[in-house]
Amino acid sequence: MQIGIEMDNLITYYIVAGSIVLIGLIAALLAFLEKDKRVPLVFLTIAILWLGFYIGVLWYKVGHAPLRTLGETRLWYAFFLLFVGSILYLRWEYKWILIFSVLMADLFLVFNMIYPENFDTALMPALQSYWFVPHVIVYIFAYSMLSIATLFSLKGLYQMRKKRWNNQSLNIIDNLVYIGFAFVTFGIIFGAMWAKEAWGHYWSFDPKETWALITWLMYLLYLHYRKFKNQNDRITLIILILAFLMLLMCWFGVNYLPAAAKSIHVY
Amino acid sequence: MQNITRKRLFLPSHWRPKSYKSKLLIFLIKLSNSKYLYTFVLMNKLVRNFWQIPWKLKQAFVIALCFPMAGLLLDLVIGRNSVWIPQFPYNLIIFLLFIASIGLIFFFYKKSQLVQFLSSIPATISSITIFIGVLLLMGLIPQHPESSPFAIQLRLNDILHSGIFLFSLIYLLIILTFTIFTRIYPFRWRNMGFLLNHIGLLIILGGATMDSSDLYRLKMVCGYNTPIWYGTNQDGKQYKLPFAVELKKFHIDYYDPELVLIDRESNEAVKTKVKPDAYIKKGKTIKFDDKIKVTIDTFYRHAFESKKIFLPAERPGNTQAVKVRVYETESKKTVKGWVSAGSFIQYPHRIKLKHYDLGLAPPKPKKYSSEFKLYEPDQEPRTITLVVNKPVRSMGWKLYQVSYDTRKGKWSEYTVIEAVKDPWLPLVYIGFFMLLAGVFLLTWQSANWNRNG
Ligand code: HEM
Repeated sequence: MQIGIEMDNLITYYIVAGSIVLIGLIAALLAFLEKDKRVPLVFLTIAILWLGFYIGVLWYKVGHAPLRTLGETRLWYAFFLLFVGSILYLRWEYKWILIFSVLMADLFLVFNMIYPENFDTALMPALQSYWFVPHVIVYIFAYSMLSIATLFSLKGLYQMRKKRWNNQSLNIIDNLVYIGFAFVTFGIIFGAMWAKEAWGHYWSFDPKETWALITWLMYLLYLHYRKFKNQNDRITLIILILAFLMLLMCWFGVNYLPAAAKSIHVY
Repeated sequence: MQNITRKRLFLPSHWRPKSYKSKLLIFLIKLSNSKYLYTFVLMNKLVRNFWQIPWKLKQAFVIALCFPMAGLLLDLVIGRNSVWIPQFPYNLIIFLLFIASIGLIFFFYKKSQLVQFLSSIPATISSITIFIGVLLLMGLIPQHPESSPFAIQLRLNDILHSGIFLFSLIYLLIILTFTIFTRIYPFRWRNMGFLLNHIGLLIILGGATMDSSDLYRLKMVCGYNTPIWYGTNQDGKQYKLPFAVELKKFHIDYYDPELVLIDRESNEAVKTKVKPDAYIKKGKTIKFDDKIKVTIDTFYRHAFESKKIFLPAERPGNTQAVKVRVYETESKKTVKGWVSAGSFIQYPHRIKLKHYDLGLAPPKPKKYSSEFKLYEPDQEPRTITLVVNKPVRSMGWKLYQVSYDTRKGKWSEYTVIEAVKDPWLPLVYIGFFMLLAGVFLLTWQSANWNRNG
């Protein structure tokens, strides 16, 4: 069975993604105008449910978890960004975090509209495993958390420049990183166990694996640096930003590296 | 004070001023180059030796850097594989001795500054950073024999087996082990998360390192009806196995093929602005950017060409073939014809259009499996099926489907499997589960969701 995104399905995608982008923007605008926080949250809930429903239908239609291609992972990424953004907004009422996560989610959805060829449905044999869904979902969730932590650190650096820095933000950054780190750890270990099933060994220092380990260690460095007595807030934030750059490298960058020309992870 | 020599008149670079006052003084001394001022500084302890205890971040980094440097030096002097990891039981003995000696040192010299340093956060930060640095080299420099000449000369094209890697790992392990001992006794429940994380990681790293010398991954190329009881490792060395396998059947399913526009010059598939769903289904019409309309009249999964037309036939060398009608809006003409991806004995068939060729992309494998007869000593032979992602166990080994003759596909005359023996796997998995439990506890305990407003 393979049903790709057919032309008329593509139109469905335009409609679904377009409406979600719009609802997200409205929610962001309402948050920006400092309306009652329940109002943007209602809009966001609708967007999340709508996107979740679409992913569910896609899953049903293609007959496997829609997680094989970059295009499909972007859908999940948008989904979790909206979700995490709403939760953080609900908890701390940081309007700009909501605005950023909506904008990023929208960016991912729009990206798919511009490059619909990302939806290619052929699933190669090594990917046909029950490890696939937990591995990728856990990673995507971690990435959403860590990208929001990165936004906080960029904002922090900006505040330092403006001399408005208040190290209270490090508390929320810590929380985000702890959760993100836990999920990255799960992702990397699930990946290792999957590799054992699929390729015979849990760790072969394939470039993608090397970069995943670098990413994990960068966040580990952050956690320990936070225990350092003479820590410098600026360095703390910079470690976090570098860690996120490593994460991006692991996620897309690896495919373009000469070092990865022979990688088994580059499809 | 005892470290300070009086021979030189300038201040050694590793002396650090303690305060702004002393900074100013040092500046003055440098200006005057006066013996008296110089002694004054020494007598009043206004500078401190870089290596004076307690060591902080800078010293930690200098020490940490020494490890990969020593490894590199060893590799350059003694040659590649100057450091290697022995096989069982020596690797285990070394690992246990390592932990025991650190335990003893810790037990007897708990109060010493050195031991305190070795379980300190600055040491941790330096060891993790240096290890990341080595991994960055590994991630950026191609790790195979055809790497750049410079990398090959410095032996940076196989960092995993270099002294650089091993030594920085050892430094990490030393710090990690000392750290663990600081919290192990007396045992407290609130240290549980810490212990699970740190011991878990130690077990994983130790287990994986021992694995690197005791792991067997043997490729077996199996032709039909030939029992095979040996495998070849990456270096081409053959090993005998305690069992034998005999290939009985090889099966492969393909995804249905996809129509593509091919650029005649580059011979590559053209990216259209909107990717059509180009999968083949009889009666379907596929549009490429509204310029080319393809209608599918016939689709054979197994076919042979005979005098420009395809006939269904399933035998070695068959190919997928599709009969189409192509309408080009530009020329307002309809062309009819066959397209096929070809096979190891048939040429591909394409249809020439105004700007491009219309062709069929080679089919992608969906699932492949091999059926074997497995012979184990003192047992009835049994039939096993190997599929990607579903290894089969036999006598302490695991068998994996790896590959086949991709050129011949369905008609491949052999299948490639891998026999893997991984004696340290249970240990590594224990470490995995400890780490998973540990990060869960860590996040649970430290997510102080109430602070902050
Ligand atoms: C490379 C390996 C590691 C080294 C060398 C290392 C080293 C250290 C050291 C020296 C401390 C200070 C202990 C203290 O404050 O008394 C520490 C604390 C800590 N480490 Fe690690 N660690 C490593 C790996 C990990 C991992 C994998 C995790 C978590 C997944 C972790 C989590 C922690 C936490 C949470 C603390 C603080 C404990 C507390 O203050 O209660 N470490 N580590």
